[in-house]
Amino acid sequence: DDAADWNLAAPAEFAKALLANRLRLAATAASPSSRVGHVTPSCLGGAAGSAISVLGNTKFACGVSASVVELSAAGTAAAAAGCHPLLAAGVVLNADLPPVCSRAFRPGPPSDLAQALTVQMSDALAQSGCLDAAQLTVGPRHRLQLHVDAVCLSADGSLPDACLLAVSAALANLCLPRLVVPADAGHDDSNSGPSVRSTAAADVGVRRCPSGEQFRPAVLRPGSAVICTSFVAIDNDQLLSVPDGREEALPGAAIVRVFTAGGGDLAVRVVSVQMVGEAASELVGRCCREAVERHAACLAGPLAR
Amino acid sequence: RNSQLPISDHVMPLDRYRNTALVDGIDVRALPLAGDSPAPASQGKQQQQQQQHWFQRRLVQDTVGSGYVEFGDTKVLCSVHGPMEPKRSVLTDAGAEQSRAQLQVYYKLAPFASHQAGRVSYLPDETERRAASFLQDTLAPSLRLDRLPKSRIELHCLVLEDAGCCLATAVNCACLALVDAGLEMYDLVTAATVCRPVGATDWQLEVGDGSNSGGSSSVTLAYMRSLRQVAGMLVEAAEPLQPREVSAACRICEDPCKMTHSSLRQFLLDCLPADDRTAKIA
Repeated sequence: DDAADWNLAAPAEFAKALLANRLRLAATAASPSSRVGHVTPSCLGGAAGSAISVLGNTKFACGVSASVVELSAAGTAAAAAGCHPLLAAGVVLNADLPPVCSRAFRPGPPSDLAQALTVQMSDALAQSGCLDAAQLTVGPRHRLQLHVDAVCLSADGSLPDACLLAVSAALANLCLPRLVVPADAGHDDSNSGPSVRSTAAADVGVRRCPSGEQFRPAVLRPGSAVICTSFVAIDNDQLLSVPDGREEALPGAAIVRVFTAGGGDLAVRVVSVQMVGEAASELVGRCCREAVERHAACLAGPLAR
Repeated sequence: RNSQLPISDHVMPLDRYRNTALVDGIDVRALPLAGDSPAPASQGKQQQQQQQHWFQRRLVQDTVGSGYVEFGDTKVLCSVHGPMEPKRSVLTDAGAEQSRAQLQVYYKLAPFASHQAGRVSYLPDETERRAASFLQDTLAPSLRLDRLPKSRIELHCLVLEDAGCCLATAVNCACLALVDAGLEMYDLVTAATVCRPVGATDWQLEVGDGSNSGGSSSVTLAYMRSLRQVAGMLVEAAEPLQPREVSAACRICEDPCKMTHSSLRQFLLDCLPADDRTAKIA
């Protein structure tokens, strides 16, 4: 009770006192495996690809829905001009923070935090180099369009970490019905994506394979993922990885978020670093090194295929 | 950034705060089969007459109470916020407004929840508003709202997967979340749904594996077992039903409601510390 009162009255001093004794209250501080998180893939039957990620007390559910769009050359150029590269590639990503996950979020339009999270996720995926948009091609005139929806189930800090973990796992577990496209005259089938078989059907338009066969488009390059690792820097001295909500809200602390991408044939690299507050460059460098190590641990652990 | 997206002829952006597709597409599940083949026979699971509920509580960190229920493949998450400052309304009597707590229920399907209808929009539609209204009317009589004057309680319900019997599962989950929040209740409220497919004459108990959902008529009954009272009933039918048909549906719903009540009660007793398990829930 005394500790709870102290935490309520002076949270910064309470956190420093804990850190001085090498203690943390965050659920992610218990063990390295808890800092990596846990992923349950293909758990939601309504989506073509799905995953639920658990990182401490933060939980995200991600579902991927696929639709077929017919493209015209003029429409493609006009639509792609000036829009986000992820949208142009055919991936529509939204992160939602509904009121069910926390008292801080109200019903209605998405909050500023939700919109910022969506932009962070979109930028990280677009800049990662792990997306293979060619896998979404369906014949010469059609393309798959993916709707990636990440919904927060419980919010307790490190939201981008848990969100990207779920998104990477959902994209890696994408499973679609095999599609059939009628052959056009003079069309060269050798350039078709692996998801297409041409037939000589008289009607045009994409159809599902009658045998119920399914295929898994490698939208994310095999073995790769996009990961975010959050850090809280206190007094330019101490670094807390994967902080919870209370640690992120500590007054005077700087939040550093490192986005890493790679895996499989791609080398793991730092895609971007976002900072709220001020932190020394040495500390940021240390964050990047630890983020790369955590990326490898995630690929070997919850995202292992 | 979102407001700078070009508006093409194919897209009517109704949601300006989220990313929307450049071109509207057709869901891959809705595509016809090649070669004019008839749809293959459903390869879903055999209808399980004795499907069990799976309960879990305290999943959400920053709430007063939360509950999670799985019934077959249907998954629902609920959380409770409050008691908080009540909403002021000039239309209600000030005395009545302050003597009891206000219960406000929000119900939403996740975009990837539906097995049949394709992707669900982020904007609430008429079905979700009707479900929220049913939940509010069903749960309010079971709560001791007079014990929390001048306050408001919010119940948020999120459906992660809708494979049938969704509304009844939401009622069960909401009841679990309210109990987890420590709110006084007269009794546990449990629900079940029966449906009647097109052309059929008998009611079938709706299960959570998608095998018999989406019929022409359905009746959802919410029941308080200890008080032997019906807390709520929702009838959805394409054509008017006879009173005896509705009575028959309610009688079929009664037993599953009682079984769910027993399961939920046992789960809550198991959650208690060992020393407190001798105190029985009324």
